[in-house]
Amino acid sequence: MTGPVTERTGDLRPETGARRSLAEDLLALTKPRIISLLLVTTVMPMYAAGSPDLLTVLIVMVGGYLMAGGANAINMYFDRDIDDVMARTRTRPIPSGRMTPIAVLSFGVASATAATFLLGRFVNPLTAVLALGGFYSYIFIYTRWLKRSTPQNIVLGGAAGAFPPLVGWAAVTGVVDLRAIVLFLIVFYWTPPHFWALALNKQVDYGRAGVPMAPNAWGERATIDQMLWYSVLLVALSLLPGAIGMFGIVYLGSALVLGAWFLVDVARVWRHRAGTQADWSAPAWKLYKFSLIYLALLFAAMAVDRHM
Amino acid sequence: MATQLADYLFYIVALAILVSQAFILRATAQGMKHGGARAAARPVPRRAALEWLYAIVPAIALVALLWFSWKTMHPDMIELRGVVPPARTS
Repeated sequence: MTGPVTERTGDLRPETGARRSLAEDLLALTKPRIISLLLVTTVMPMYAAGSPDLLTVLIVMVGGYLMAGGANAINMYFDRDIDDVMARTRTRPIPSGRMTPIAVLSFGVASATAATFLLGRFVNPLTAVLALGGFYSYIFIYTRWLKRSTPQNIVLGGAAGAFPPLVGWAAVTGVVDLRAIVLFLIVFYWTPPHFWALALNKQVDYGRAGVPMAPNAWGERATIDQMLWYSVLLVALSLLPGAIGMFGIVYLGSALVLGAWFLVDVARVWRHRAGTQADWSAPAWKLYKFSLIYLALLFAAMAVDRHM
Repeated sequence: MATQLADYLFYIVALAILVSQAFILRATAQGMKHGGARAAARPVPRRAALEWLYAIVPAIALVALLWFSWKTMHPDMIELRGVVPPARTS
């Protein structure tokens, strides 16, 4: 099942084992592609909350990258046993033998420490505390507690990825209020359909590693049902900022259009829920890709709306 | 946004959230049943109570969010209920 997806997209294909420099390995530990979306959901709320100066934005971006990168490195330290048996993680620095576990752990701790200092010293203490909250919830709640124990690992575990809007909001306003919580919950409820769309196409890998992702533990049909209802909930939730006067018509229009698109994509998967993998594999992969664009554009619309 | 329009939007959002949350809980129950049937092949023990907890905690958070959102939209209604003095009897 991994094969067709890998061949079609090219981006999850195991690498050839070519030697990499230490700098490349350190960069790989931070999972830069994942962090790029986290930074979008950090920076856009900053502009949605007010008009931050460029230096603050840059410090938050660097601090956010270091904190998330540190969390990702420590995640690789704890998951080194299963990374070796999954095709898409086999070439990471630890399972491929290019870095020792203790070096990876040290890098992660140092990275998070630097981030805490940067954010606490040059932005404000609340921002540093919230970024640390995301760091600890990713490592201890998701990686250590939920990931290998429940098919709902990415439901509550998704909270870790929802911290960035709180960080961005607090960096500008110095507080966490209802508006920041709404943004947190939007990312929280975006996570299940996004992640399960990927998991549907990676069942063999997760099964081999013994990670009880929903498609493996519940079956595809129940997972796709959940994806549909989480998506409806997400789209409804994305309209709430319009109702409470947080954003205006530009955001509301964008949320409606993007939400309709998201629902069409998830409906294409749901239509085939009783079918075989050949039926829902491609629509699920399309949904996964679109969900990334959806979140980035939704958060961009918040910033645009605030400054129009 | 005009208050009445915002109210309508809020009710639509609240209804959609509550209905979808109910279906999520239903799908969780179905998934757990399916998972139970597959349990022999699964290395992870089934812990039904915990699974329900994981599903219900976000639902409680959503209800709280809706309550606080409504309170933000209608602060006067909430405050009035507390400050209106009782009618005099004499």
